[in-house]
Amino acid sequence: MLFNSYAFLFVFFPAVFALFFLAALRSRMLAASVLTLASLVFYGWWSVQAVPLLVASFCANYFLGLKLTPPGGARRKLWLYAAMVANLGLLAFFKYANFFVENANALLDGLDAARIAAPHIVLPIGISFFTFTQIAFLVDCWQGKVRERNFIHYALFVTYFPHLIAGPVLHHSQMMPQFAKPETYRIRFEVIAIGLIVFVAGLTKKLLIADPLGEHADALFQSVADGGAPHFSAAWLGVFAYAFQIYFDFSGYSDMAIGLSLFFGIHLPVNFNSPYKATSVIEFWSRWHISLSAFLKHYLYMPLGGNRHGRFRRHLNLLVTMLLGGLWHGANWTFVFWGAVHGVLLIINHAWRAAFGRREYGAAGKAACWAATFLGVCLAWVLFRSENIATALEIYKGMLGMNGFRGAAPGGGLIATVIVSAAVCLLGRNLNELPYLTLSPPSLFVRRLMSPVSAVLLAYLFAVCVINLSTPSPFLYFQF
Amino acid sequence: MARRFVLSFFAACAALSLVVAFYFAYPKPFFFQAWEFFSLFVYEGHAARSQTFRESGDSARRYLFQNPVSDNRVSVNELGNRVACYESRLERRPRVLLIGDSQLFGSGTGDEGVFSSHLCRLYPAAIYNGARKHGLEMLKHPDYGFDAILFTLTERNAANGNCAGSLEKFDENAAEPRTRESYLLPEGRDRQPWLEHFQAGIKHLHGFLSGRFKAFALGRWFPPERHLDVAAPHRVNRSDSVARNVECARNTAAYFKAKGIAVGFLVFPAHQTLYPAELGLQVDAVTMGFVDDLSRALSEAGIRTFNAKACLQAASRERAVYNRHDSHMNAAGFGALAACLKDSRLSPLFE
Repeated sequence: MLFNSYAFLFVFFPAVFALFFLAALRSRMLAASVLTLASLVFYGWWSVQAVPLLVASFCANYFLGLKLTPPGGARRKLWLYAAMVANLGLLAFFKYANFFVENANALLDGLDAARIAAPHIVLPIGISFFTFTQIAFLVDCWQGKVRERNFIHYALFVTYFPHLIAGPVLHHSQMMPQFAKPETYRIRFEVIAIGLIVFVAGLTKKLLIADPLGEHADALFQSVADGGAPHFSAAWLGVFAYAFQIYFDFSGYSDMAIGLSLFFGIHLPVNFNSPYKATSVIEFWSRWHISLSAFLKHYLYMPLGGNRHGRFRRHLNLLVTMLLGGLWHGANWTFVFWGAVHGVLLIINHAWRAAFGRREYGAAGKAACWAATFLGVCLAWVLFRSENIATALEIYKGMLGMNGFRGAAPGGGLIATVIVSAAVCLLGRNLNELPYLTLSPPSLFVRRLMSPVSAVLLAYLFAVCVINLSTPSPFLYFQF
Repeated sequence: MARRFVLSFFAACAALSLVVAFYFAYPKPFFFQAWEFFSLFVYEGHAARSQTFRESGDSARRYLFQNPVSDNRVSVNELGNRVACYESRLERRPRVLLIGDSQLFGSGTGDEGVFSSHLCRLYPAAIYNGARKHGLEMLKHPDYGFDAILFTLTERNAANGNCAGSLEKFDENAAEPRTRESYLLPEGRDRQPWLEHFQAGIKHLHGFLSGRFKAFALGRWFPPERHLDVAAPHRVNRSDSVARNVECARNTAAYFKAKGIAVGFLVFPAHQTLYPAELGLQVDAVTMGFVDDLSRALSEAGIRTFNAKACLQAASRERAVYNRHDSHMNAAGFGALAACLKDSRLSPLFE
């Protein structure tokens, strides 16, 4: 079930909202159970066959969490290894088995050896997200950081439908305490109002900006995959279209998840902070997919040694983290190379800082830094979006003008959409300025936003989005 | 503050929902022309095939109030074609198929005033109006047969090579058998699913409401008195337009001649070239001369053709031959056109 579908907006969500607060009148645990069951229904809508896997995953991890919590005996470390192997093994089996077999067969073909039969495993949606979420829980259990132990709350933390399919990657310490709070189970208009604004903003980003951009980006990448050779302006515009599409699509999804969650009084962390305003790659990664960046930092980069063992190890750790982060996005060499490119860019960025120190640049310097960062990110997106390396190389050739500078003129609509998208990204205010996302007091901006006139305009924007629901398109990050 | 905001949002949503409910219960006031309503409701099996419709015109939709309006009876047969006189004259000969676009359909004109109705009154022939639905595909209908085809080339669509498109499509599908059921409008079991119908309808409603809001915001209350606000003049912007159309018409005539079906071409202008000064339009020389150039070239190629420009010019001196706020001809215009055709070299197609 998509957030941007009639079934979700007009049947599933209103029903769950009503049932949750009706159940909360009887007991908070009943309400949490209702939300957990609703989340399983939401997940089962995609694939009923995957529901037992999800249930088995959170039951097993809850049990493992108990075993790992100190004082848990001498075998705690053994339990941790077993838990990691089980979770990563599950992820590897479902997400990477096809990839490994394909690559192994390519090697075997070179050696004239017999091929391995392809397993053709169907990827359960959201497996990367619920596996990472639970790995963090297990590590924290082992480190003795986990306080909340309620099974229903744990099940809800893992399955909670606003984040289940495409994140944000949640941390139990952000979520489980909220499930225990009595005010979560009361209708609070001040929270719902912010939820409405954030949800409609996300819906707008997805339907009115990302989807139209996606048509242009798809046209470029598909034409190259079909053997086309894009000329200079077509290649650049197509890549810019994709850069803005993925931002508006994914941040739109995150906003919708955050907004929906606020209807239940539950705060999800902000996942984007105007990443295209970044003036360095380091800053970009502190603004883009913040929850994943935080996970990779705390549960991969730091355990690898972080920056504690000298410059070389730091750079190596960065590269490994980004390579694995790339691979997390999908079983394809394009994602591995995308991660590698970002790893190298981060290393260059750190090396620059080490050599020249952190400087306060003037306007021209900041503009140059911004341009270099945005260019680097866009060039990397080519790898991320391409079906294979050959397609990416052909687009790079087009961007370099190697396929010529003249061709069919890009439509004025595309140019206008890219310009508007860029303006929104660079000049627009970020949603984390709203209270209840950062729990800051309402600013003047928010107080002005909370007028009945704004509410009517928001309702109209919502109606326009609903009109554009006719062909629901899935969110890009669902595939990861 | 927040409570008022949330309640205002849902109140606005409820009001919009009421408008949507009203629209689906009684949709006609949300349409300016019957063809839009027919595409969304009648052709999808959600409304009766004969409707009395209050029509204004394409360019009048930019104004809040519609003036003038005319109540037209618009009826289609069970195949979706505008009612003419084929079924009632099954035994008559010749049987003539009319091919064309919304002009031939009679957009903005009641059943009695459309071109095919005028021809039905002038000739005893069995005449079928194939506009907007099926077109040349009618030749494959197991229950229908035709001795002649009249192509009506409007200034706009002739220039777009409409003739070539129709023929190619027909030829591509020539081998495909068609059942009589495949021609019928959906009724009951095979009508468009409600969700798709809702989605298509809601898009129209949004366009309508946006247009009303825009007209209100711009202070456009009533349409102007004369034909001054026709949407955008259509330009013939390809130097090879005449040659392409002649080539197409030649192929078409030869194709159907080989099948024993006579073919004729009726070429007529839009009002932009008929009286541009009254419309306040600057029409370029290529566009102005297109209908004459095309007709001349068709005749020189030995194709049976009639240029209705002079005839309509003469008629327009006495009365309006086009709808006031629309690019379509009115009943008087179609009457004049049919009368002129009666005296032209196309008349034998109907005799």
